[in-house]
Amino acid sequence: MRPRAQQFATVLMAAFAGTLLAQNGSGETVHPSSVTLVYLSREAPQGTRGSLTEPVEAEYGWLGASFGVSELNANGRFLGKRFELEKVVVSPQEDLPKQVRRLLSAHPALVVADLSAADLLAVANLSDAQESVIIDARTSDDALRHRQCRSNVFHTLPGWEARANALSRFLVRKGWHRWVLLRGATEDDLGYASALRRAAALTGAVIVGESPLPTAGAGNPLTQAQLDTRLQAMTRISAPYDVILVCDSSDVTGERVMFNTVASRLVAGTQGLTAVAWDPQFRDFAARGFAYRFAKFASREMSERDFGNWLAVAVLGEAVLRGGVYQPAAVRHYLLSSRFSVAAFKGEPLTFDSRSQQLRQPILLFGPKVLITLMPPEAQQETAGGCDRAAVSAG
Amino acid sequence: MTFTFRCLLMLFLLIDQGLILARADTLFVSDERDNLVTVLDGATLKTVKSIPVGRRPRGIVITPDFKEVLVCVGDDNRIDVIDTATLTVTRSLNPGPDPETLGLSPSGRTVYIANEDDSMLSMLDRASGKLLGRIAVGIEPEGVAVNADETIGVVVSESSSMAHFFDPRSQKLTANVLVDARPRVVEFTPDQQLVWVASEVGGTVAVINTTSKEIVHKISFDVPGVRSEFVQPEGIRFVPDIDTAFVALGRANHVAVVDRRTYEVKGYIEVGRRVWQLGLSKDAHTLYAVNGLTNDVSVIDVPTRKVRQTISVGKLPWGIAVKP
Repeated sequence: MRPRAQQFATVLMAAFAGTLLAQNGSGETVHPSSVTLVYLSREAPQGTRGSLTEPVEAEYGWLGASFGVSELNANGRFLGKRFELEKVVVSPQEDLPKQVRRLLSAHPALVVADLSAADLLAVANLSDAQESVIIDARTSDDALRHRQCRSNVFHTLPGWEARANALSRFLVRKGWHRWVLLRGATEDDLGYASALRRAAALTGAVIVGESPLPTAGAGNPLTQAQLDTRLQAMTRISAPYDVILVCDSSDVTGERVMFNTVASRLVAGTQGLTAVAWDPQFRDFAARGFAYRFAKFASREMSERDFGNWLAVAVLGEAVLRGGVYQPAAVRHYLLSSRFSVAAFKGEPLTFDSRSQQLRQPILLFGPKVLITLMPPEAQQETAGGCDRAAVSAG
Repeated sequence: MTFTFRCLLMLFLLIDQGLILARADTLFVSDERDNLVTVLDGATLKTVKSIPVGRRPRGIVITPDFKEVLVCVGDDNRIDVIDTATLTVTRSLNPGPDPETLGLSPSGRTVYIANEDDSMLSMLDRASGKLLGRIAVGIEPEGVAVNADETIGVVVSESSSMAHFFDPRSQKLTANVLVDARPRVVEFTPDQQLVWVASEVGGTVAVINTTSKEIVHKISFDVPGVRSEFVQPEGIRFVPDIDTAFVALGRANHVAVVDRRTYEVKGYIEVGRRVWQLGLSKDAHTLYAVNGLTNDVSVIDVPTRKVRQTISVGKLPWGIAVKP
């Protein structure tokens, strides 16, 4: 592997090949035939696979962006345009702002940011990044869309507030307006919980009880049985309620809430009924063909993170191919103009909200797919009959 | 008033209302979710037969001699051919993977098929089913049209948002025109000088000069009381004698009436939900609008621009072919 500094130098040269091509002899600006987008991410420890059918090297995010570029090039070949995607991924310990400063100090760039909220903010705040266009392809952080909104950052995925509002409106419309809120401990969990409280107030729902979720996973002394028992205790609430809202972006504890409640209640939030920008089972508005193309490209289903990255590339592609702009300042102006919209298999054109710089988009409410238990229960399997007994009809 | 005169007057009124001439029509509607082609009698507006076809029938055309109806059954990777006399599937063509829509050369000899999943336009000899050639086009190709003398073809690609012009004889692309997002349908104007391209998500119809390959006009629609995002142009039908075009507007649930020469939108006709493709009777007195989400067809009287009747068909009706 080449030294990282050399990789960055290569990226830098490649990233601005288009800019160099953009000046002809007379100094007149011409549109380059090749445009380079920069993909920015940080390596994360490999998580536990949910099943053996999940790919070991899933490359979530990167494959979404790569697929976006392959589709842009399928279009660009008819228009004499080519897109390159330069991959800049730092290690978990590496100083990301330092690396990005080196990348952006010479020229602003069009950046697809597959980063956490903290990393994204650190990059967006760099003085060298102020002239770049950074498309946030991963976060749902509301602060980045409001208090800490940055003019150089656009968001492709809906924030927690947008998700909470969609979910809340649906639940209230169904008459399920009394909620119990169970929240995890990450920044995302707290952000979603906060958005759900605000959404409840807006739509007339009432949160009748709220508890932190017991932590699980690596280093957690709780057994699965103990965890299930704790969850049942947390849902034993005297006040009547209709729905349990779960905020657990880790997918570890939250997945077990449904069917481990005391009362038979619905689950929604990060598990159960979820408010998402994308689900690979989505079929409407030509999404079926889109999902199929991605599956052929990546040999796996498209995650929401992939969708956010694909959409980031599609947004920049619109600016270059349709808007005829490629310099970051012009791209930013175009993305906020009435001329911009992007099609994203949502049945309508998507545009950026000028205040939050978040894409306005319909939100999908999707159900779950998870194993809860095996029947007959383990205790009964040891008694005479076992599976035979489970198959005997009541009559 | 003599009896004879009264009869003649009645006949005149019926003809004027398009009621008699419409009786000759037989309608073939592809029902995407039912895997059927519903056959309707244009006179009684009743179902004559539901013809089982392959899975996911969508694009449907009738041959110039009206003897065969060809329907794309994408999930079975074939085109089923229906004999319009016996109302049975008599044979199938192999057009390559996932055919979504198709066009016919005006002679009826060549079938042009949009292979949605592999971004290809395939050309087949209709009689023998032999593959004549394939052209690589943009992502998710859909509507196809060929001009009267079969010198210019156009296929639109939904995901690439392009109208690809091709030469049917050399089987080469001649121009690629970027249009608004997700073009679905292309039609030549009756004088063959222009093509109209309907962009579903862009909400516009691009009018492209077939010589210069430039967009000369973009038609926008403003349906009263309907969110602009729901205005999703789809099917297009020209009525040459009155210089009028009808444009189905998808989830706006209306058909637009457009002056073909000035591009002025003269009005909107309310129909069923998600109006998709349009069919026109040979006498051009009756327009049929296929409504995907209400599972019906609106029968529109062209002279008065009124919906005369709504007929139930199968689930998720997609396209329509009209046999006089």
